[in-house]
Formats: sequence, C-alpha cells, structure tokens
Amino acid sequence: MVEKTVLSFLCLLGWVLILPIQAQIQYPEPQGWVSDFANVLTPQVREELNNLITEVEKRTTAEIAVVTVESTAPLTPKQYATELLNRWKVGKKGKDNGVLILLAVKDRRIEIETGYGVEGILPDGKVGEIIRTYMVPYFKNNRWGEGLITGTQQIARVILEDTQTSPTSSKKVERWLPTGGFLYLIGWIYFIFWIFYLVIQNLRNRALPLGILALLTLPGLFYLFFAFFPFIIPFIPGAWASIQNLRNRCPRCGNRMLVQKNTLRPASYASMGLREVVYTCPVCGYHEVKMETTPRLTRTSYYGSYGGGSFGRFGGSGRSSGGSFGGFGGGSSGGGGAGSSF
Amino acid sequence: MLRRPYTFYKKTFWLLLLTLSVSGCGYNTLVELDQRVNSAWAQVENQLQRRSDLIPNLVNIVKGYAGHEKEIFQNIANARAAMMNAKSIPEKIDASNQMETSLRQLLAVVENYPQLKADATFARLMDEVAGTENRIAVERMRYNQAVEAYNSYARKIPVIYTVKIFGFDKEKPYFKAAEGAQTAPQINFNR
Repeated sequence: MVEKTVLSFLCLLGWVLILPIQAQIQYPEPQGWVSDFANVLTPQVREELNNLITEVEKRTTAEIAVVTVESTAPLTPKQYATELLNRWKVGKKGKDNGVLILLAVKDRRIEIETGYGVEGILPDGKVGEIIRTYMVPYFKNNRWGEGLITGTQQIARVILEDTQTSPTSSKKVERWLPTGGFLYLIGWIYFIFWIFYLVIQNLRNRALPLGILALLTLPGLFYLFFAFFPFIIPFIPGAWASIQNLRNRCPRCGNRMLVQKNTLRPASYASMGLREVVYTCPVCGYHEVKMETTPRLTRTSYYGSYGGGSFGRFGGSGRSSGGSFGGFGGGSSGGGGAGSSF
Repeated sequence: MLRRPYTFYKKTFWLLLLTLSVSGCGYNTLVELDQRVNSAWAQVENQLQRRSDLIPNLVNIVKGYAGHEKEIFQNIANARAAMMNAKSIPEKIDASNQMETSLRQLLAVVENYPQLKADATFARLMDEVAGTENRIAVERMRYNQAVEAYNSYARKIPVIYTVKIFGFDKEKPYFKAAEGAQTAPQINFNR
C-alpha cells in the first residue's frame, strides 16, 4: 500500500514536472518544402527552392526541408533542427533520406540536419564546408535568399550525384508470417472457446469423453514446444479445467458427481481443520462420504492485480498540402549535420 | 431440477482470477521495453565508437600545431583507454564523460592557435567532432527516454513481481551527461 501511494505521488510529480516543459515549446507545422516562419524570403526565392527540392524528390526520393525562424530559444538551433526533422519526418520512411536546413535569423546561425540515410553521402565535414563556402558569406550580409539557394543547390548536387551511381530501391519485403502477437491471439481464441465449451458441458452436468478432452488439450501442449511462456499460459487453465472435469466421476455410471463440502471443524492458525466431502451422483443416486483435513491457516497478504498499462506504437501521420509538396515521408535523424554562426 | 454445486462457481471465479492476473503481469510489455532500452544503448555505443575513431585524427592534427600541450594529450589517451576497457554500461558512461571533459580541454586550447583554426582539414574534422557530439547527445536523450519508460513501468505494482520472478533488471542506468555538456563543442572560426 505504501508502495502504491509513493508511486502515485511520483506519477503526479512527473506530470507536474513534464507538462510545463511540453507546453512551452510550440513546434509549427510545415508550410511546404519551404517554411518561411521568419518572413525573410521573397516569393521568387521560395518558388526557386520549391522547384529545386521537388526535382530532387522526384529523381531521388530524398526530401529537403528549408526552414527559417526568428529564434529557436529556449532550445539551441541544433536541438531545434533535430527535433523538427524528427517531428515533421522529413525523408522517406525506412530510407531516412531527409535534410533539414534551418536558418535562425536572430540567433544568426545556420544548421543543416541530415537524416540517418544521407549521413553517408553528406558527412558532417562536407556539410560544414558547404555552409562555410556557399552560405555564410551571403548570410553575413543578410542575403538570406541567395545563401539558402546556393546552399540547397550544393546539397541537391551531392544527393543527385550519389543517386546516379548507387542503386536506390531497397524495398523492404513485407512478410506475412505468424508473429508473436498472432500466436498470442490464436492461443486466446482457442482458450476462450475451450473454456466456454467446458463450462457448457459442466452446466449440463455432463462429463466429456476422455478422447475429446485429450484432443482439445493436446494443442496446448504442442504450443508449449515452440511458443514462449505467454503463449502457453492460456492452456494452463484449460488443462486444469479439463482435469477437474475428469475428476469426481461416478464409479457406477460414469457421470459427474455433485460435491458438497461440509466443514466439521474449521482450520485455525494453530491446528488443521476437518471436513467431510459428500459425493452424490445425480443420475444413479450413488452416494459417498470422504473425510478430509484442511491445512492450517497461514498469514499472507494478497495484492490485487490489475491490467498492465499499454504502450501505443509510434507511427507516422499523413499530411497533405497544395502544390508539389505532398507531405514529408517519415524520415528520422540522429543529430547528424553541421552548423555555423555568422 | 438439479441443484448446481456451490464449488462450480467458486472454481470458475478462481479460474477467471488466474487468467486476469496472468494477463496483467506485464511480462510482454517488459520484454518490449527492455528491448527498446537495449537498442537505444546500441545506438549510443555506435556514436561513442565513432568518437573514439575520430579522436586520433584530431589529436594528430592538433599535435602538429600545439605539440607541447602534453598534459591534454595524455588526458585524452587515458580517456580513450578507459573507454576501451569499460565493460558495463555505467563504466562506459563514466568513460564517455571523461572523454568529453578532456575533449573540451583540447578544444579550449585550440582557440589559442589561429593557424590551426585556419587549417581546412581541421575545420572539417571539427565539423565531424561537433556532429558526433550532437549525435551522442541525441542518442543519449533517446536512451534516457527508453530507460525512463522501462524504469517507471518495472516499478509498478504487479510488474515489480514479474521483474523479480523472471530476473529482469530492476532498474536501468541513466546516461547522465558530464558537467557543461549541454551543447556540442564549438570552435569559433570567425575570430
């Protein structure tokens, strides 16, 4: 009980601590390939960048996002770029071939974040060189559009050159084999039907033939050999129930007997108890009485059980917007890329 | 009409209770979370390895310009040896933080050598080092998130018994960053 109280307190504390942090940082939604949140780009520049990136995407499937913001505070520009790429899922799912170019105007910093899939062709050193040679000289004079265009052109050139030489299609083969979850489901469905059947038979007060019991319990044993612990669990109660069904049969006619237990002397913490068990066959009237001892009471504590929490799966979300931009594809990055102040 | 025996209902009750308690023990989720921590740590190790591979190059180029800063090179060599000898996760975390500290010392010294900063190879190498530090930071964060999910789940009431019975780790170690390691090391090339 103390544990539970402490736990719930900690949970509460966790929420109190986490909520304000999450609420502080607002991540914008992408406006397209180019998201000019700082309003420093002219329509011509945006158009040119859009065409360039669309071309790259069409030919290589790689995605480039160009973002301008005023400031990334309280995060560093690098953290913001990483977070944005992963949130927007720039790049194709499974290929992670996204690049995010972030210009923080007031922070006076340019960051290029590379997805996992393009780290190989765009190593940090190369990205840094592109930034220093093609972007920073323009940015020093506040010529944002020119800097972004030349920089993006260089990134695009590297990506295009690579695609011409290397094979692109590395499609993941989707297998449809029974997985753990599927086996689990089969096990449960089987278990529920089996229990249901046994219960109905019990309600009708009818003992099942041994053959049927064996036949239906055997698959549970079979699972035991190739499925792991969770998968055999459904069959343990099933087997137990069938054993119960086999027990207490009338020796005269074979039907299940009614069992009535009468306590003669209740068990205490000091001594064993005694009870009589009366078996009665409802069909032929067979009657039998057995004496049984009941074990001494022991002091135990019992914790109630409840279902464990479930964790949602991560998944991409589709987005759509006008023009040639059809939403980013589901890429991710691990903080690759380079940046420079100017 | 037959009178249904009382024991039948009692049995059904225990049966249902058993079923519920088994499905509520959280074994599957524990396995999943455990695996997530492991794979997150593997990513961290990838990046630590990448840093270890980069550092000799960096040391060599700095030695060319600042060969007399013997103490710093010694620190880096020690940190690298510690990194290689580290076996368990906490040891590796310690070694990584030691490495980070000595790397910072090296980069502080670099500021005093303008010719070194003008070297194009050094600039590229610095991008790689900074990028690696960023990657470590990202993977460290993801690892810590996985650890947090695991630790908080493994301490809940029914799960804590599953952990004990099946011998799961009671708690996974967090990767606490070294002092002042919130941002990647930067060299100001403009000065």
